[in-house]
Amino acid sequence: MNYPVWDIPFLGAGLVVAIIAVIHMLIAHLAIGGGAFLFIAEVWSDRQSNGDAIRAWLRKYATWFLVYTTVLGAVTGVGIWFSIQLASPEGTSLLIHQFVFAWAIEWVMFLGELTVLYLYFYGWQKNSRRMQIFLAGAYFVIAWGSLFVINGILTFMLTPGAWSLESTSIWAGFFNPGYFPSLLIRTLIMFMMGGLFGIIVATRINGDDGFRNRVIRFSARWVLPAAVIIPFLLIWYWSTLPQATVDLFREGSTGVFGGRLEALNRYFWLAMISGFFIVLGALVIAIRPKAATTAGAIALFLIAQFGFMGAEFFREMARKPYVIYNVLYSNSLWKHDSEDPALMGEPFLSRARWRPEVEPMSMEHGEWIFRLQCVSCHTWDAYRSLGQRTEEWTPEFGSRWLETMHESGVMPPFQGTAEDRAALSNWIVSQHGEVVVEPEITGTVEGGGR
Amino acid sequence: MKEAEGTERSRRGFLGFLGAVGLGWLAAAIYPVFRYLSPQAPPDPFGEDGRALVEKITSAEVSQPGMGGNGKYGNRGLLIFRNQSGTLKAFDSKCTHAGCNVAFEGERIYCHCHGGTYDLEGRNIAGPPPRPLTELGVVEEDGLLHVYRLTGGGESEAGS
Amino acid sequence: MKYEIPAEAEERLPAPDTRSGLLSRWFLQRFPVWRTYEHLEGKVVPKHRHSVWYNMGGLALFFFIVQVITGVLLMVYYRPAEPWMSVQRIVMEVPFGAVIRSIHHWSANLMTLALFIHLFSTFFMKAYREPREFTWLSGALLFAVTLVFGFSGYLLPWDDLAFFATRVGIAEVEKAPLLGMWLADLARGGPEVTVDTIGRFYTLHVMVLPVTILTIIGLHLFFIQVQGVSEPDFFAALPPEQKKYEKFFSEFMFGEIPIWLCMGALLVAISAVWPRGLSPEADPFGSAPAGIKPEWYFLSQFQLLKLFPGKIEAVGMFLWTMIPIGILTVPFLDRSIPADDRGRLVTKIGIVALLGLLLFTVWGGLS
Repeated sequence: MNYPVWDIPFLGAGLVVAIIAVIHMLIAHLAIGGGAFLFIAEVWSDRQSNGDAIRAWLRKYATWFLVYTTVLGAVTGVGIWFSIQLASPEGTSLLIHQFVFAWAIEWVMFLGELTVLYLYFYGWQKNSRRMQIFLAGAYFVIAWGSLFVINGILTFMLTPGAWSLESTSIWAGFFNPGYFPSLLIRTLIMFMMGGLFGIIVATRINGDDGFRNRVIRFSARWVLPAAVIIPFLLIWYWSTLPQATVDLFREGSTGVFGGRLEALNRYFWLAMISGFFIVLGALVIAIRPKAATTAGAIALFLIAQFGFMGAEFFREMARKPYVIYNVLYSNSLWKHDSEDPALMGEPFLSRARWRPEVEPMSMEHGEWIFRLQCVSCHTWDAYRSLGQRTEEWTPEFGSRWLETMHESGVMPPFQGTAEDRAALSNWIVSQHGEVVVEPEITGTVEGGGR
Repeated sequence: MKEAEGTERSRRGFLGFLGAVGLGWLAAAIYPVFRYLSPQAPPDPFGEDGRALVEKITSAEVSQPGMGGNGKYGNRGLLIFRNQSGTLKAFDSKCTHAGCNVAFEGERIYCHCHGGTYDLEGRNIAGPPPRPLTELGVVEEDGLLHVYRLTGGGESEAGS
Repeated sequence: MKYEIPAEAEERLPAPDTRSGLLSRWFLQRFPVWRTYEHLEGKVVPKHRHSVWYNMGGLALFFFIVQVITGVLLMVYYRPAEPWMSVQRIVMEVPFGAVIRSIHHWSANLMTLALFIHLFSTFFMKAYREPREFTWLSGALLFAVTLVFGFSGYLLPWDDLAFFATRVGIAEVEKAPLLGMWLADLARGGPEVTVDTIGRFYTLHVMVLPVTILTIIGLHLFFIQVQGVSEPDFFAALPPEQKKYEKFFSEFMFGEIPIWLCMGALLVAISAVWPRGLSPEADPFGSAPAGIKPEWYFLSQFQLLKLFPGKIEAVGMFLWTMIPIGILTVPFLDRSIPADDRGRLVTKIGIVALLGLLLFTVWGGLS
């Protein structure tokens, strides 16, 4: 709550980050898996009689690959920075300060990646075969190195492991429990993405059907490692998840939370079903490469996008209600602060750094609390709609509910006095079009002197 | 030619393998449908205090020795009667043979479906039933009958 | 007595000592369908820059299949005697019930959307001209049946949105001349929407309409298989060596599979992000909930009728009725191949109608 609040109508700040990040993830995985694909295909082309034809196709692959990953990838990558610092300044700050060195390496990797890719692409005619193969391999290694680094930070947010604010042991935080299963899963998905992209480019081959079919089959093979090994890695990954998350997942399949299948479950199954569709689609294309159209290949790639959305949303929601598990809540409240009753009981707006001047118990009072404590996750009427969730509220019920909301395990504790709670609750109820008569808490507020 | 055959064979092997993997993923993808159709566990007829209220038969209907009839507890059928020594006896009325509800016939418990016969202690004495009936403990309180699950032989005495 | 295998089949079947050779002979000796097989094998789909529209009918079929599967699953727990309670149970208690219901909801919407696109793309490619008039008419009928499907299914959860939307929707039927009142009463089972209406709509939705639509789909597909895919004028005008085709079996069909899978993933994704909610149980005597509106596919009509209030409402009804009348008569009005002046006029009218529909739908959605 150190900053004014970034208010995104309809989507909400979190979903904006998510949308940019999911697109970025798809591209980033392709950027690394495609590197491996280029390298293996280069080596493969040397062993085939029609190596030149393969390389001509590979050239097309590299062109689209370069455009797609460097332009869209870079733009969304920067977009993530812009959006997360607005959505969770505290979280961003913590990640930057804890992993300064990792970010530096990441940045160097990124530059190296771009340099090698340009050398590879623009040296197509000039470089020797050995040089090209070396550059493709080097590109993959460097790009994978950037995954190696960023994966530490991503998994840290969900499973900080032995890291704590007191010990701030970087190595424990970096190689946290979720690190290796996540690294392996992502690597396999990258190979899959490289292959799926290969199918798209291969469907553009005109003329020689036999050659087209071979290249399509070669590309379809890249789905296999992910399809076979990921289920086992998932079991490993599962064992590293916080117990609260696993419990939420178990109970969520019957839709007891809010009358719906818990989001965690929905996204998990989205990923699983997409995975099945990709395997099935790859099988169809491998059986009948002749029938593979560009539209079909793009469709397959889009399924991967949906699957990604499911998997990444699952990982993000598994952290609920924290941005860094057990350390920092999504609305920038520190866990250790939340355990300090004196601090938590202070009038909330007096702690906000950007302090609005409001009349106590006025509608503005409630609205400001909504802005500072709720909107980092909820919108009023769209994504994770607060309006829908509070339709049945009365001011008294809301006030009581806010007091104990953290006990559900999916919400952070409320910060502020009974007066703050009443102000927020009144504001929420008034948003439903109900006239809230005299606020009832005034006068009986503990510590209410503002 | 030979090489082509080899490629063909490896292609078939590859497709078969991919197909097998696909089946595995299919299992994961239709798991939600499987769960959707799987019946949920029936509610436990016994409440938090371990007892269930007897319905569809009142204590007045079993007030004298030799009186008895069918009723229900929770979602299950029940046979309750007072034996000649004046003790209330209750059994889950589901016949252990094929699941019909048994009837109380004064001297014996009889199942009309296939002629299964039990004595008044619920022991299967004639006909097809393979096992005795499940006995329940009974308590009478303020004119209401309650049954509870019997765990061992000793409690059965205490209950009646 | 077994059937004989025709000589031309004998030439093309796999050798009799292979498994596939044996199996195909076994089959042909019992079902003499070689001619049909040859016909289907020769079926082609033109390949050109507008080929993507040929996938729309298949997409609608895919969504229909999803509807059948999820619909059957929902029927397992749905009880017309206590509609709202049983839907509530599906959403709250049955594992994955909420997601299956959401998929049924979204797939219904996407099926209607795919049919809209299919209808307009075949219209603009002028596929309704002879000899395909009856393919077109059966398609129009399918579209109408789909709308009734949507309308009847909407009531079944018996929440307040469903209740009032149905009440308003049937009130529109009342206004139709001559039979309107009788039809409305027949649909409601009386002068008001009550639980009796549920019985009628339920029977319609799970019994009458499915049988109807399956029959018409069968006819529609049969016509297409017999007549082949229509070639738009610009393609028909190409010299033969420039015309490219794709075999319907199995290239076109296999090519469709990834697209179907993608739509399946899209369905699950939408249902994951926006699960279908359930409003409070319908209270026939309470006030209608705020912001109540028909489903998007009835919005254009809703908005058009709002423009003609009171006595001139008939004008709006008449204007709107022109669309179904136009759809039903167009194969008989515009028959020239390639398109003549009248054909081009029909295309222009079609564009105006499409723009009007879009405009009124968006307008209705925003207002």
